[in-house]
This record gives sequence, C-alpha cells and structure tokens, in this order.
Amino acid sequence: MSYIALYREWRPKTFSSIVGQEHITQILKNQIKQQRIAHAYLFCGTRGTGKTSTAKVMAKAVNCLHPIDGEPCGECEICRGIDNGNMIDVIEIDAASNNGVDNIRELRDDVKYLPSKCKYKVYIIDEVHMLSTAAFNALLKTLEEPPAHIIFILATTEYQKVPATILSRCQRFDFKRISVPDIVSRLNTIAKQENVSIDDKTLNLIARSADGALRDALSVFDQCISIGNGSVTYEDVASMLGITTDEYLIKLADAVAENDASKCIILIDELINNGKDVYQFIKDFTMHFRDLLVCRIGGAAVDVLNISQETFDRIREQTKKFSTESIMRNINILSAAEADAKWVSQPRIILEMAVLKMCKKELDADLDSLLVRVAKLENIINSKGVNTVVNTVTQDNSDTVKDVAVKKEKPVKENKKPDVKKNKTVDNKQDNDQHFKDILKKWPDVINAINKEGHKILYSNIVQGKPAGLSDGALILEFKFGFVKKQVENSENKKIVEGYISSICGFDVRLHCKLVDEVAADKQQGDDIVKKAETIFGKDIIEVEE
Amino acid sequence: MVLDDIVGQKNIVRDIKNSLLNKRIAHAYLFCGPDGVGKSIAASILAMTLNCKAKGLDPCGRCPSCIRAQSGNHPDIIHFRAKNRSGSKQSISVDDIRDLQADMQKKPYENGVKVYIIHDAEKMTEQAQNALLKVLEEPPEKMVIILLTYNMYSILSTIISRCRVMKFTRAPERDIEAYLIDKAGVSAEQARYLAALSDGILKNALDFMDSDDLKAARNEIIELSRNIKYCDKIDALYSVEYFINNKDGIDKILDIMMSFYRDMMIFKECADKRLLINLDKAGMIQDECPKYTVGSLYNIIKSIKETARKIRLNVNYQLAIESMLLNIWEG
Repeated sequence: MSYIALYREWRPKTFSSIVGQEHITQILKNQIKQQRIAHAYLFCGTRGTGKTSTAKVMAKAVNCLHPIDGEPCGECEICRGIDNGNMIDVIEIDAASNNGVDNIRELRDDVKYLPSKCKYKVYIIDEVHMLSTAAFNALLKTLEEPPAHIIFILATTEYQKVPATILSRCQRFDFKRISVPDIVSRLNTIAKQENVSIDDKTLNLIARSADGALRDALSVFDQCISIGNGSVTYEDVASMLGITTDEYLIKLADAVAENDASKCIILIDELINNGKDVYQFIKDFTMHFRDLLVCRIGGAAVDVLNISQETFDRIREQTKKFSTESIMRNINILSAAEADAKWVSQPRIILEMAVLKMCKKELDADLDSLLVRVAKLENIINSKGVNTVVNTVTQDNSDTVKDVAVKKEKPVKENKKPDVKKNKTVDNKQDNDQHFKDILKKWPDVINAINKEGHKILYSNIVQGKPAGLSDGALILEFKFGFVKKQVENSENKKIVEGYISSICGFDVRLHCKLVDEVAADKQQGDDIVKKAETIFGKDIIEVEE
Repeated sequence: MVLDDIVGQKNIVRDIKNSLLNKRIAHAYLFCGPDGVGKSIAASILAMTLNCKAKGLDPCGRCPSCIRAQSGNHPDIIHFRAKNRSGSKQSISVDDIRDLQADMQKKPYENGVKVYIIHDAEKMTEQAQNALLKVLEEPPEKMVIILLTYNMYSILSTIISRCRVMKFTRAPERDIEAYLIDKAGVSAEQARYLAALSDGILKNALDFMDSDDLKAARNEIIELSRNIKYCDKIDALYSVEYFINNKDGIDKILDIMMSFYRDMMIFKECADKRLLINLDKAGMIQDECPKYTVGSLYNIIKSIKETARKIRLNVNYQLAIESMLLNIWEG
C-alpha cells in the first residue's frame, strides 16, 4: 500500500507550514536564531493542533546543518534522516505504552551517551500524561539538569494530569484550537495539490465538524476524496458525517412554527426512511434552535454561529416566526427527548411526540406552558369582557363604536357612579352586594396583575389585605398591621390599586383601608347604635337599613 | 457475502467501494453504529477483499485466501475481542494492546494486508486506548486496523481523530421491508410492521418474523390495549395478570402498546395510513381513534414510556403496570 493518509502525508516539515500556531513557532524560531534553546519543552493542546509535528520540526531545526532563519533546511543529511525516521539521535517515545518507572530508568541510562551525528539528542515523549506517578518522579532530576546535549520535548493533550513539578521544569507552550478559516485555507491548499474540486461551503462544513483539530478535518477530507471521483459535494459530506442538511432543519422548523403537526410527521417519516440516526438528528435539531436563539438575541452574529452567510440569512428570516419563549420551550422539549431517545427502543416515537408537543402547546403540562396558556386565556377574557361592555354601551348610545379601547372605561364610570350615589334603595343594596361579590371573585386576579406589572412592593403589602366590604362605592380593605395599611393608603399606591380594580372588575371603587380592630369596632358600634335605638323606640318600630 | 448484501448501509458500501477503487484505503477505521446493523460483517468483508487474490471490489469467495478467511483461520486477519477474565469486568486492558502492538510489528505472512478487527472497542480501558494512539497514527506498512463500537462517545477523541470514521446508521425501514419481501418472502403488510418494529435493525425484524408466538402475542397485546377503554376500572386492573405472566418480554410488550397508541395519535393528526406502524391494523385504528383525544393519547404514550423506564429502574413491577393501566383507562 503506497497510499498514506493525508494527515501523515501533509505533516508539516517546517515551522511556517504549521497552521494557526504562529504564537508558538515564532518563539521557537527566535530561540534557535539566538541560540537560547531550553532543555525541556512541554507542548499541550487538544488533538490535531500540531504538537507532535512541532516537536519533530523542532528536532530538525536545532540539529540542521544549514538552518535558514530558524527554519530547518529540509535538505541536509540530518533533516532528511529525521524526516525518514531513521536518525537515531531523535528518539520518539510513546509514553502511553511505556509508562512504567522502569521505562524511564532505561531512558535515564541512555541520556548519558553523546549523540552520534547530531548536535543534540532530542527525546520526544508523546502522550506524556499517561506516565505513572513513579515514572514522572523518576524523570524529575534528569529533566531539571540534563546533560548539555539533551533536549526533552513532552507532548500531551491533558496537561492537568502532569504533576506541577514537571510543569515547572519545562517551557510550556499551549496549542490553540485552529480556527475555521485557517483550516479552510489549509484544506484548500491540499485540495489544489491533490486535484480535488470542492467548494468553500463544503470546506466550511468539514472545518466546522472538526472542532478546531486539523487532523480531524484532514481525516474527513481524506474520506471525502476516497469516496468521490475527483470532486466532493456538500451532500456527500453531510451524509458521511450523518449531519442533517440545513435545508431540512429549516423546513421542519418552519412546519413547527406554523404548528402544522401533520407536515412535521410526514417530514420525520422522510427522515427515517433516509436512514438518519434519530438520536443524532435530535441533537442537530436542538443545535438549530440554539442557532435561532443566538440569532434572536444577538442580532448579527455570523461569527458566533460559525455558519455560512447564506444559512445565516435564512435562520435570521426564521427567527421572526418564533418568540424567544417558544424557542426556549422547544429547546427544553428537545433536550428531554434527547435523554429519552438514548435508551428507548423506538426513538422515532420519542421524536414524533416531541415535535407534536412543540406544535401543540396544549399537550404540555408543565408550568411554563400553562402560564403561557393562562396568559392567553386572560387576554381573551379581558378582551371579551371589553366587548360585552362595549356592546351594552353601543346599545345605550345606539351609535357605532370604532375605538373600543378608548371608550371602554369612561361610559362605565358614567353609568355606574351615579347609580351608587343616587339613593339608599334596596336595589342599590343588591347592586352593592353584587359588586362586592365580583370584587371578591376577582381579587386574586387584581393582586396577580399588580404583581405581574412590576409593583412588587405594593404587591407584598396588598397581599396582606382582605376585602371586608363595600359601602358608598368604597371598598374596605382590612389590614392587620398599621404600617402595611399606611403603605397602601399612600395616594399613589391607592390610585394604582383603584386603576387595577376598575380595569379588571369593570367598575370604579374608592379604596378605603382599615385596621382589623377598626372594622370590628365599626361593626360593634353599628350594633350598639341599633341596640340603643331599640331600647329607646322599641323593636317593632325600627327597620335597619344599610 | 459481498458488501451489497449489507442491508440499508448504502453510503458505507459506496464509500468502501470507492476507496478501494481509488486505492485510498486508510490505515485505521472506526466503525460505529448500533448492534446488529452489520459492522462486523462489513469489517470482515473489507478484510477479505484486501487479501483476496482476485483484487476486485468484493471478495471473490473462491481463492484460497477468501476460503480461509471464511472459515476463520486466515493468519493475517485477526479478530480481537475482550478476553473473558474470571472475576473482573470484561475489558481490553493495556497489556492486551501491548501484545497486539508487538504483533503488529511483524510483517504479513502472505502477500496481502494485515487486518486487525477490534470488536467492542469501547471495552478498551483508557490506558489501553492511549497505548493504541501511536501505532494508530503511524502504523507499520501493510496494515489496517478496524475498530468496531456501538458507542462512539466512549472512545477517546484522540483516537477518533486518527481514524476514518464510518457511521453505520439504522437501516431505512424501506430497505428492511424490501429485504423481507424479496429475500424472506413476507407479505407487504407484515413486512411493513416488522420493519417498523425492528427499529432499523434487520436482526430484530428476522427474530420477530421467525417466531409465531411473537405474532400471536402481538395480536393479543393490541386487543388487550383496545379493550382497556371499554371495561370498567376493576376489569382494567385484571389485565395486569397478562403482564405478570409475561414479565420477561415486557420491553417488547410495551413497545407494541406504544406503537399502537402512537398510530392512533398519528392517524388523528395526519389521517394518512402510510405513516402507520401497525399497517395491518389500519381499519381498527381508524375505528378506535375517535374515542381518544390527541392529548389523552399523548399522555398514554408518555405513561407507557415512563413505565418502561421505571421497570428498568427496578420498581415494583405490578404497581408500575397497574398505574399505567389506570392511566390508559382514564385517558
């Protein structure tokens, strides 16, 4: 097999071809130019960011016979020897399989000997985090004071597993994840060399799926080349990665936005018939809603989302169809479905249920959606209440009413107030009782409304009050404590409460606050007066009216 | 066996064939996907093809190499599995991998390619996985490593990045249907629900097809679910007996119930028979579904799903079933 995987074939041979780690290569080059080479380096960073490659280039650069501005020449005997892997002075150790203290002791014994051809003997210890504690400790002395001809390069993906004593003896270099544009441009170079035609959108998809690791990107790219015949299409890559295409996600989300359950089910059927993994799809769909959310909050955020401009425009178009709450709700539903889909044997049903739930809010029994539904109902009721009142008004005035909102309250005021004031007839008493009952019924709504609209302090006070009665168009509120009563009695607060009562109950009242004792005393007093009257006039003559 | 015999993995088959055609076979593969979709078959076929004397895109099945591979004693095709150790959990330890590495340094015995197929790669311990890294990155010549796993997320990302990842998906139901109709001689309606119940895994569908008991049981379960609605509360609770007698197959039973209620819900929403799982019961589903609301069906399915979960968590079996029956009755 003469074929070698792309990521091995294209392993960087010079500092300048290491992608996205200029902050490291520049330092190393300068060190070589100024002959200030450290004896121990620690390279850390996630997979596929160039640690081992940099270590190999470094080994060449320090030993190269004709270095060019800190770069290895790549032509001298030594450079070629290292490239072919047959230079005995550059020793690559796989710490994961040689992780015992004995392996390190062997290494210590070898360190004493001078290099055979090169200036420096370079030990590259890869996956160094797998060394045992004893092995690390055995390495400490050598690492601190190695012979002059020794350079250690430790490479690891998990530096937090390396003891602090090792860290402090090395020059540490952190390799960054490689940015999407850097990966794309590298892939582009390779594509040209390999005579593969591929568009930027597809390269972007590969780069994004790689999550900052160039080797991952190259693996995928390699696979794409192997599959295709000289050209790689977006659909190929998407199907290979098992990713659902953006078009499909947008289509399904549209159907969700329109609450079209039947269309959603048909779309899912299509998905299943294409053999997509439901679990992976739920994840993708969650990500789509996350993108919508970011888009909705952030406005312009192409960089955050890491998606093509074209898709971004479509997503932004779609955000208009969702409210922030409904996006959050959908994300919640999907993440619950994701957890279920892991263990259930028919993940398809889970997905279908999740989508139905997204389309039909009434299936949802949790608090958030109930609140949404209650608020909706309240709105309807309120607007209906307005309508009925308006109707009576229109009947009374027998003319057309165009501006409902404006006319809503005023006519009521005019109608009711005179009623209350007119006379202390029996009718009026019934009216009064009726109103009081209404108020009692709607009192919780009033309090809630006050709470919701942000009058938190007032709410905390008014909630302690209890409607005790209605007389002369004044609602008597009973309070236990004087200071609470004072707070509510404050003229501003009074106005607010009166406003809410009139808008919710549909008629105006004044607010009259009293302490519990006062109310009781009033009653007592009332009773006393009646009794006194009785004793004076005799029971038969007196009729008590309120 | 040839690659095309693998049901429902068109993309994988195409990818492997094209890489053979382009002579770009990677040195390391990671096959991942649920159990029973054909990972190990695909790996075996690839190994055979690479060693086949005919050098085609599929193994010829006649050359000495293929014959030996089929009988499982080809010296260059090594199937590596977790060893059964007494006492400890089944796993692939770092020592196993070190032995493997030593073996990898030897050249192939025949003039072909050495193929290592590591089954259940997720059973490798973390150390073992780390020990594999270097050899995965720069393997000796003429060698291919194929890792098989059902769960890609238990493999180190450093391994994944070194491998060519092949994602085996659940087969499209259509493909399973076609296979059942063509190769197993099943009627179209039966094939439809077998495919739907198989969850995209051919093996499940075949198991279900071969057993008459399962079929009879399915009818019984659907009949039982249907009746819950008609009897009074006490009678509904009596049907718990059936569940107690069939405790071993409860997962399947709940699956079937779930599919039945799901069908009614979908039918109510879409009124399209093609979307049903229990296609053979379409008439009955059509008759039944007006008796439920979408909301109640939704709650029933949820309750069945929850019951399945609870039974896994080892709650009191009878109580769990009874509460589910009551939920259905009320629904």
